[in-house]
Amino acid sequence: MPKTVELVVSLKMPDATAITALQTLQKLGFNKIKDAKRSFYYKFTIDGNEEDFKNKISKVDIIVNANKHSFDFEIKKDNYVKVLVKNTDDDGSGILSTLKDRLGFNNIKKVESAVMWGLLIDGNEKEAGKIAEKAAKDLLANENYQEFIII
Amino acid sequence: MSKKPNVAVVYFPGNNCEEETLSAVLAAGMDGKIVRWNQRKDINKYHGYVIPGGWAYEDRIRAGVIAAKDPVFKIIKKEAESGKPVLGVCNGAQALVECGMIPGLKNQVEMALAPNKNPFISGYYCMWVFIKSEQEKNKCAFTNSIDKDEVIPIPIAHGEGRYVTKDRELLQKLIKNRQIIFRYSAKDGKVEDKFPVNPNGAMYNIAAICNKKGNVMAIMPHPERASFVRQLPDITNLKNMSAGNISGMERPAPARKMFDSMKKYIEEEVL
Repeated sequence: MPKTVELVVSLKMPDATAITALQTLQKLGFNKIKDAKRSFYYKFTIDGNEEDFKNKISKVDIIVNANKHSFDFEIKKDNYVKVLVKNTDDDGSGILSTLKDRLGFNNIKKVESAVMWGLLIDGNEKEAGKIAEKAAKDLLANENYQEFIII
Repeated sequence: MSKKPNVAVVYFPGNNCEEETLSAVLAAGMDGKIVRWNQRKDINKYHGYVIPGGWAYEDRIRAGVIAAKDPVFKIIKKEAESGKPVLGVCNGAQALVECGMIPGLKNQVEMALAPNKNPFISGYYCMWVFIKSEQEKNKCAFTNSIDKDEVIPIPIAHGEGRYVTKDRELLQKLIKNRQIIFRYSAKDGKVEDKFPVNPNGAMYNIAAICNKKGNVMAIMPHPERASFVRQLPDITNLKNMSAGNISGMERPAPARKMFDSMKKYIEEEVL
């Protein structure tokens, strides 16, 4: 039975892209957005032992470069609204073939990847969700080739 | 003495083609200046605008999107509405699409320049290609010196140059409105939707689109890098004919006609 493993990779140092996103959103009038974070999100569908896979994948430096990245195998629950932005025509085959053919991960069946934004928003959950959706539409995603989900 | 067209090459932090772009503007007989994105005072006095290539704001979030949200674009949009020409090259084209000026039918973002689709290389791709003029001379401010079906050698250098849209009717509207100005083609002008003729997988082989009025154009290849014979690749006849002839190398190459057309358009429509 295939299993799924989530991996969230973030920069250890200040993320200039996230800072620019926050400043741009605030200039666009999103004054209730107080902070923005960015991570790379992967979802692997695998056969075999989950712990072995986690141990191996966290050492693949094209995904996690220990010099600059930290990682987690779950999406942290905190006060940030998460927005996952994915390219609609990216089926993950590029990274899948690299992992399988060049790095010997024969037990991987599928890879999905996305950029995960975390937005710290003043307001209740419903209001924050609406603001995050508008921020995604106005800046974080171009729906002509990307899709986003609020989680 | 008649006034000379004066063009602003609008530079954003991270652009890197502003000097070559200014050279092409000057070579076409216009005056011009590199104007920083935050020098907004009096920017409306220029007769036309070129948004050059590069990586504005490091392409953070998405290519061209941060530049597209900059206040200077409000001024450029307003000036374009009054009829002034605006040319976006590569990263400038991405910004024009991200701010909704191209294709400019609904005053919203209707398209994207998505990551290239290339069977051999993912990401950034740099190569000489050919583009074919799709419209009659008078359709666009940047092609009134270029014949319909004329084929121009020109370099591309981008990672996100694939014109796409989620609007299934948009392509037909662009064709009907004659807004598709250049398409990627073979050297003989044959348009084939396959690599290497279509170098990035753009829908309908689109290399350049203008707005409905024809005074704003977003082009992914670099006309400023193909405006002098010396810039052309060695394989082209034009360059071989000028081998050993320094003044011949300074002669205009075919893509210069886009800047010549801009000059002509400003003289006829703006001044």
